[in-house]
Amino acid sequence: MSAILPTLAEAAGHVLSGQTPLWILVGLVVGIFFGALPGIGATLGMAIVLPLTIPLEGTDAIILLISIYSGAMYGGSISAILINVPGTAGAAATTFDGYPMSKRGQAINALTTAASASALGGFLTIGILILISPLMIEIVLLFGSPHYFLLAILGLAMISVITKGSVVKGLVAGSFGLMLMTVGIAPTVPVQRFTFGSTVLYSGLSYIAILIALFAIAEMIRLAAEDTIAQEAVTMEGSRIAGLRNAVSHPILVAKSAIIGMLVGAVPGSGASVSNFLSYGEAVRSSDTPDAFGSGIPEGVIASESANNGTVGGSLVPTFAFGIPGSGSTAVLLGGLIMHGLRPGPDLFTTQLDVTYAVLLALLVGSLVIVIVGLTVIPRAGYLTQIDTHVIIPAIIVLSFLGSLALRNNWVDLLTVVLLGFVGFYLKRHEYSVIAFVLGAILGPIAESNLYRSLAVSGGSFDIFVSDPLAIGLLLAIVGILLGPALKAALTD
Amino acid sequence: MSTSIARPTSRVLLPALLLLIGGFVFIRSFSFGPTAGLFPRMTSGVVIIGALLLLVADRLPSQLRSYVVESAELFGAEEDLERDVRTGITDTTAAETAEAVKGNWGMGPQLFTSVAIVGYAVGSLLVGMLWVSPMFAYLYSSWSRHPPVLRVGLTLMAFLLALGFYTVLDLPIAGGWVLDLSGLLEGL
Repeated sequence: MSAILPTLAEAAGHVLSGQTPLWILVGLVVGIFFGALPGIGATLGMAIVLPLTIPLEGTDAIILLISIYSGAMYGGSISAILINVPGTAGAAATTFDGYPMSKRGQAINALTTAASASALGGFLTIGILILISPLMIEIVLLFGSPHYFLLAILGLAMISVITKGSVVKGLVAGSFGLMLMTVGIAPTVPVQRFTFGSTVLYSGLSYIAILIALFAIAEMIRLAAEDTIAQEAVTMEGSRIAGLRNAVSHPILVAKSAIIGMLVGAVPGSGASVSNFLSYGEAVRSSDTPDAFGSGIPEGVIASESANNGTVGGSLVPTFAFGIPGSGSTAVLLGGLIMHGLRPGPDLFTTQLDVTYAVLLALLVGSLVIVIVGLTVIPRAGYLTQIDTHVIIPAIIVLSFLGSLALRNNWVDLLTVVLLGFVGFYLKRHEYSVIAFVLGAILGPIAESNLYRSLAVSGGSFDIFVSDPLAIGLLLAIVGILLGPALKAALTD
Repeated sequence: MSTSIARPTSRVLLPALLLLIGGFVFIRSFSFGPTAGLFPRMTSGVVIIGALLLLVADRLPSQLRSYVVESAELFGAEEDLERDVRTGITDTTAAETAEAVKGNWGMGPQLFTSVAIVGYAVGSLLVGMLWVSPMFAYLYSSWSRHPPVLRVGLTLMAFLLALGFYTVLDLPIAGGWVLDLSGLLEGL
């Protein structure tokens, strides 16, 4: 532990100096705004902000993105509490007790309870992650090129199995993403692939343009069929201090829910949408008064909100350590890491450990900001729930177009955004996993480089992928995961 | 659904398109040599097999068919629940939505949004995104029947966003393939 203290101090210095506190604040406010709008959420918000981070220093860019993610997790509770429609899937269980509290004239109590629980949950899980980081460093250092190639396949397999739609659809979507990234000059040999002699395709397709296409444009086409999220004004009543007291007076519930959130977040593909229900269920199970849940008690809000912010910290583990994002939001975060030259894996736990700690510490600081914003601004932010979808759509499309061109000033990126936006719309409509697609696009160049490196080491032999216990374990995990649904069906029969 | 851009045939067209692209990549990959061609061949191989399975799913034995087309959802899914949440939004406002999202000019929301996106992209390439962005915002808000103040506000916001990218990031968006109006902004 003492070995990491100097790095931790260096990271703290970064987080608390220069422009970094400003980016934390901006990220949280943007995240809360996007999170409060049902159908928008963290992923879309992060995707359209991603190209705007180009001028930022790498660590600040990641801190901005993670702050949006964290802010959106809390922001999702605002519409859940005020209009019974969760802003993000991670706040779905917040509606069970948050909305009844709101109807009883305790909207402000519920909002501040959510802010306090979110902050405490986030604070606790980040503290745990910092404490166990030395152990994570040891594990990550065991991995080499063959293992990272297998991890990329494992990540795609897990996403395919876990997300909506069949395994085959998930694998097709993920492989399609991998395949698209083979356009351009090959990573190891100077051979042009699928460029049709055009110089604009030499550097290949941009995975960020693909992210924007799938998470912004495809979403806007889908969202266009929906209307304003609420028609009537919400009466903002209640006490801020009572809300804060609610969360502070339930430390065990906060801790338990946050840890559930963290553990679920560490499993790729599950995330806050699962953790808030699991945590809520556990709170009901372990309560002395389970029947009171659903009638508007603070414990229900605490369980859900502590869990969804705990998930943010947990989801960083597979993303930073192995480059396997657990959700759309962490896929965008992974894209941001790579865009800024921060490669997931051993580097982020050795030479760039200060970046990892800076991100974790930024989340800690962000937790405090959430409490302050939650206690001061949010009780006046009821109007967020009345914004017309058709005001948001043109703004996001304009930002997406400008952002796509800002990446490399290459019109191919604009065409990618439009064409894959439509492809993404249909992929979603027919239940192909767009997260697998995006993951394939992000991991494509990394997976290909690791494949070639492994084969170069082994002299072209694929035996290297079964040459040690770790590689064999990963291979067995891939097979097990892909056959899991078939085994499950057979056992059910 | 009559105004929706999705048709039932897209269920078949989508894997067919993936199969076509996968087949093209697979065949072309042999011209890149053993090293550069390996990864495209591997990935397109999975796309081809998967797309073929999806296309012939109805003719597969029941157990294989369920593996190919049915959702595994071992733990519940982020995308799944997000969709459920959004479905909830649509359901709760369905009555109002049906009328409100019809928009102007007899075009449904998804059709209009799609046409507008394509027009925005083509216009951006031809005359520059700086000029087309406010036009897109004005057209969209007019179609949405927003009040005049909101239309002007959105149009102005789109122009200022584009101008911000033009000046701060030095993006060459004041001109396109057929028209270059960057001279108008000299000195900015």
